[in-house]
Amino acid sequence: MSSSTVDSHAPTTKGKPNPSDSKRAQKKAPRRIRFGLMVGLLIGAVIWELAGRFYFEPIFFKPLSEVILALFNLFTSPVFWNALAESLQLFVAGFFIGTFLGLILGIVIGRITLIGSALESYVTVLYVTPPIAMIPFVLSILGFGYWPKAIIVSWFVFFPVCITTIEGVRAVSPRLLEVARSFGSGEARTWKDVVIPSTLPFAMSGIRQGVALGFVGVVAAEFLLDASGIGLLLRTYSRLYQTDNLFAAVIVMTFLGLSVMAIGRWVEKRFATWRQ
Amino acid sequence: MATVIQSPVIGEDTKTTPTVKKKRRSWKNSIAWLATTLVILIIWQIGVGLFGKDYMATPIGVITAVPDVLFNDPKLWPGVWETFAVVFRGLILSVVVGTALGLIMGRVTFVADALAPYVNGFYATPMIAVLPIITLWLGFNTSATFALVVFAAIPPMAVAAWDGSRTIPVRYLEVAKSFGARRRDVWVGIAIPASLPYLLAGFRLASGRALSAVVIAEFLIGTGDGLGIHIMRLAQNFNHNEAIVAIMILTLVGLFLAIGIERILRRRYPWFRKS
Repeated sequence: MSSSTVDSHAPTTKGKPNPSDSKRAQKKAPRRIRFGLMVGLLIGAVIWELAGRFYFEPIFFKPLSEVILALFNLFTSPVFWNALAESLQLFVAGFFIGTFLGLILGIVIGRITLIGSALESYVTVLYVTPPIAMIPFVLSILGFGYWPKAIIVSWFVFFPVCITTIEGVRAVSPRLLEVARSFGSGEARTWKDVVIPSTLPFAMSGIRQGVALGFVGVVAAEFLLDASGIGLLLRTYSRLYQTDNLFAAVIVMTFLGLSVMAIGRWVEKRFATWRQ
Repeated sequence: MATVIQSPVIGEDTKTTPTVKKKRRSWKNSIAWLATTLVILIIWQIGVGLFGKDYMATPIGVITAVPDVLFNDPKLWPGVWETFAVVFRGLILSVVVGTALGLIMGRVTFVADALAPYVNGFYATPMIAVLPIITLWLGFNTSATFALVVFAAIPPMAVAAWDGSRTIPVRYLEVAKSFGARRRDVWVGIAIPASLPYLLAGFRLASGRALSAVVIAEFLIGTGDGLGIHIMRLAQNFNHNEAIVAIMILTLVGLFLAIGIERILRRRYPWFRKS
């Protein structure tokens, strides 16, 4: 399947900085000007504009210029900012609940091996179940309102955090633990000085995933449960066939998603500097 | 594919896994496992009995619902078939397109620069946000579900193939070259085996996202007879026990994909660490 793209090429890393190069070397190299990026974006924009103008029915597809106009209108309307604030609030609540529980349960499972093996298998099983499948249950048990949504968001966040925390706790160097124990450190002290500091970098990669998934959870909850925030906005636009607004809202979601991922990556880098 | 390709260069020293320690502890672990499981189930059963509502799922209810759902529910297996047919078709398409895209991106920097904003952007956009647009274009039917699966599964495959094709150790290529390897040998012997763990990891992500996508799409589209719709209807009619049995099928497929691939990765590519 890949042989056609593959055959016509010589060794891979030619002319490119080796990814295993040290950070110093990467910093020294001047920033490559990405013509490809500009060309790609330009082509995309032109195709979008032309397709919207000449090819599609306006109800299905709007040219880029109209979508940008709609984007401006969106940014100047208080409706949008209120929706964004509402979603953000839901995100923060769900994220903190999910992270908190995920960290605690992760450390417990990872540290107390006897119970851990059983609990871990259940966490794994629930982790591979699409979290969206929980929404009908939450809906029929808890109904509408704010907390069901927050529960859904924290469900999305909980599992990646918990699982990476378990891995992190397991990866704590046994030598460090032995040293701590032989110097008479109690369990609480060991957690504080050994377990948590060496788990945190692992947990951070879970938290990074949790941030991204939590954002998905917000949209899912707002779309499928009590409609509010950005989810409500999307729903309204699609039901009213306001295609330009719908596209603008989706673009906003894309940028929110990208920035949420960037924040997650920044957080991970910031706190995980001592991970090998 | 992974079972066929024996990587002569990389996968040499893989078969040394410390199993002795594990075996010694395993009976103790399995007793602990059983005990904890029992405690969880008892707490669940009693908790629902005391505080829950009578339609909520309980372990006993779920167990008694299993034969009922599996054998007497006329809508279950057609739904399973419909849903997973969409998932697997979508995954196959995504693997082919995503891998091709990623490999081209790994080869040609210009293409990578041009496509990166799209791949990253699609990756970051929540699937649910795109669904209104997809249904607007394709209508409320199975092809919209299929489109969402593909939308969800292509970006992780592309990113994985992209990463994989960029991280082939130069040393291997140099050795191969100095021993006069032909280009085809380099690809079959080095490049593909070296990027396989990445592809497998990408496939794991992609399959997880595809499962989510199919459920989301069926929930929101609301027509058809897929497994997702079936779960939704069962849950909304307060048949929670039956709904959980149906979800378990979803989970089993998810587990099969995730753990099966994890196993392959661990066994064949122990040097490969995920993320």
